[in-house]
Amino acid sequence: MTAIAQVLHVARKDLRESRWPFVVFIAVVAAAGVRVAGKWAAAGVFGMSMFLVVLTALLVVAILVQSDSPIRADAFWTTRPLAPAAVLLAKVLVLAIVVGGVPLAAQAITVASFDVHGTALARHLSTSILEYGRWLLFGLALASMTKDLKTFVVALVGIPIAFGIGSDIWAMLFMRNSVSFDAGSASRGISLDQVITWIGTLGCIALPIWLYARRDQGWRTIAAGTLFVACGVVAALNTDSSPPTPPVVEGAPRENAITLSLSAQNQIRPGQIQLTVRATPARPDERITFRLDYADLELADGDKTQIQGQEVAELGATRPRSLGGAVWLSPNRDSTDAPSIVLVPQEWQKPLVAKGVKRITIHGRILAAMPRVAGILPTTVGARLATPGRRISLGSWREDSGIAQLTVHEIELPHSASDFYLQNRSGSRVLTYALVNDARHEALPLEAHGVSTGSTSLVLPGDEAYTTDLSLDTREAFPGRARPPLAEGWFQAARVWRIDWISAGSYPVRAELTLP
Amino acid sequence: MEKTMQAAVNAVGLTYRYGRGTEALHGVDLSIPEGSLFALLGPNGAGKTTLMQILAGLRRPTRGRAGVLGVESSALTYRERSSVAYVNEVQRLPSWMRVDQLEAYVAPLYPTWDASLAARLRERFQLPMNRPIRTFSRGERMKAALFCALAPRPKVLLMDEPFSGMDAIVKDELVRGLLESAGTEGWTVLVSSHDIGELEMLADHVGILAEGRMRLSASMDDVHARFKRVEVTASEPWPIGRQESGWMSFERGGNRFGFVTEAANDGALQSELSERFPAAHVEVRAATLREVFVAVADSGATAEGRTMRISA
Repeated sequence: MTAIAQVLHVARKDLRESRWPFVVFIAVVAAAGVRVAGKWAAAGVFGMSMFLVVLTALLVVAILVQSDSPIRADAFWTTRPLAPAAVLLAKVLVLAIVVGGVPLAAQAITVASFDVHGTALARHLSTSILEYGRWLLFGLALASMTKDLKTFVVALVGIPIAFGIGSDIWAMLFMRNSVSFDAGSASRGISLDQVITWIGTLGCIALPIWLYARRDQGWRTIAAGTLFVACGVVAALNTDSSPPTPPVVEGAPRENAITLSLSAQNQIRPGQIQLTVRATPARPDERITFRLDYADLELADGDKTQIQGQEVAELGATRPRSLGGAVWLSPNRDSTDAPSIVLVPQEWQKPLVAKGVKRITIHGRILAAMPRVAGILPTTVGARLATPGRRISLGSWREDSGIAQLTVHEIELPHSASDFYLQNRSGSRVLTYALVNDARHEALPLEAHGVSTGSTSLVLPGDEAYTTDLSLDTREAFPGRARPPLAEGWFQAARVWRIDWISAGSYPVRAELTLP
Repeated sequence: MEKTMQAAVNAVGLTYRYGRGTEALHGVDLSIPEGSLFALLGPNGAGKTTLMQILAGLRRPTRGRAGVLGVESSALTYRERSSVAYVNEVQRLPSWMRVDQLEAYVAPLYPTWDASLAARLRERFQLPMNRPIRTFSRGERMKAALFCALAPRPKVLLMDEPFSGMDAIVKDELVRGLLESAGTEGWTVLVSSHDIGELEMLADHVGILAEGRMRLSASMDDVHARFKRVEVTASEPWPIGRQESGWMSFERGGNRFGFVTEAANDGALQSELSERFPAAHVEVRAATLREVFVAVADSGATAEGRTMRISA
């Protein structure tokens, strides 16, 4: 029997042997997929399904690997003329097909159900492959090191607990020093997280190979294996949850330079520096989103320090001048609002800031965007609108004495880095909904008086879907929440318009403020 | 691959330590000629299973070397492994399989799998065909393990407590089968068991392992020729009785005492003892394997003092 034939022979055996765990796993994946794909209302938590998929996958990995354990002297395969590499490859093959392929297909179907296709779909899947792959590697390594399912489960529960306690102790003992990893400049080198991730990933690949080849249970192997598995779980848990940096996209007009001034309400304080940011749009209707990356502070005594941040400020247009030729019935507030960003020094930086600041240089990125009508909803409760990457449903509608109040549920799957900043977010002043009466050519901005946001995973770890519940009201856009001047029966002919802001380009930006 | 040994199974200075603590084997030497049936005896915890596992390539020795069919055990390739069968009392079998599924899984792995022998073994062992292995009794599981081990016609058969859980009839059948096969097929068999009576029937060579050391390694004929059981009986209660050097398993009670000793010549030993104890009746006979095992295993003597080399 050739080595390849052995791989297929063992894989066939594994598929048969573990068929019931596989059936359970596939059922869990299917349930998670159906639950996410069929979800329209934003309320409710369905992140638990991803957790169940990963947990079940880990147990299936353990069952599969431990059916031909590399460390048990009484394992059946070790006394047969089987190449260790063939046994391991058979496990990897079955894992790739069943535990990897099936949920990945479910993830693809789920993402596609958000009307996301092509390269955007591939990008979502690659993120999932990376993050879920780390979990599978961790499971493979842990299952190789443990003799049975009971030991595996104990280790699975014990490692996160040990990790939690260990990281607390680490934080207590080395917090001051660890700042050097987190608070470097934008061009900083390899971080501790990256080192752990690499050790965990490579170690979890190497460990099963070593164990199957050598069946070594020496203390060095156990010590190295424990380190790799611990780093592996850190790597799997420690996914980068910060929004991605929007790429530089040519096409945005670079004339909209930003200026800084100190906020009138807040002077520089050791714990907080509040800066007002302004920008002039280069063209009408242009929305300018500024994202802060970091700020360099030159201190009064000549020292320098750097503050990290991911503040976002909306600087340009907050609504289009008109919607389908309709006239806004409320005043435009673009010129009256002056957004600000807040720099928050870390604990160790506060005494430095207290010495006085001479100059502040902020580094960030500007995203320019233009408005576009994404779709129109009737004012009927339960009405649905699907746009690429987003599902919208009307949760409630109430019209009383010339005032309309409605709730909108959104589930959104951002498929580009720009989407993270451009689409509706809590606290954003940018208009995304309006009521438009086509017959009268009049539009009312729908501003939120209540926003509830969340994020949740899909079938697999990776990119998240953002959920938003918006409570909208026609009075919010009027000074003093005054009642809008509407004709009789205005709402009967009105419909809800969803406005998207489409990226027109982005570029890095830098602004300086010299203090007296 | 390094060809290191002439005997079918060979160990030189074999030492194995679990972790950084218990030393399960200490400087074990072993040489089993091709076609031999070697009985490995030892009390619980003597290191028999560890020795078997090292020879089967399941553990790497801490020091020393172990080889099977001229190849280092730990370096056996999967092709070479098809000539070596290992059966262990606690060996795990794919418990979800039925015997026909087990055969379908195992047979393609062996180029030497003998389907007709497999059929005969199934019949002889009366293996249940319609039940998964997890429902088997201990004896049935052992039979299934033996079925997988014997059907490929291995050149070397390592069996650790193979009679465990078997009823007397099957055990007798197995012993007869092994004797026949070992003779006709030229198999080299290393078998460990607490069932000394069965082993005495089976083996042509014997090794006694105690506290991780090989206390005795000899042909069965040599063992019977060299080890004597002596009974000394007086007409009145024995006044003094003390163990002397070279007397093993010394027992004393009433007007008699007995022991096991090494002596090449029965007559000379009889005469010597009769001269020393003129008023007593002295009886000398060849010691049984059980008596030799108890004597050697309990003696605590060093291997160097008692090991006899096997003549091929």
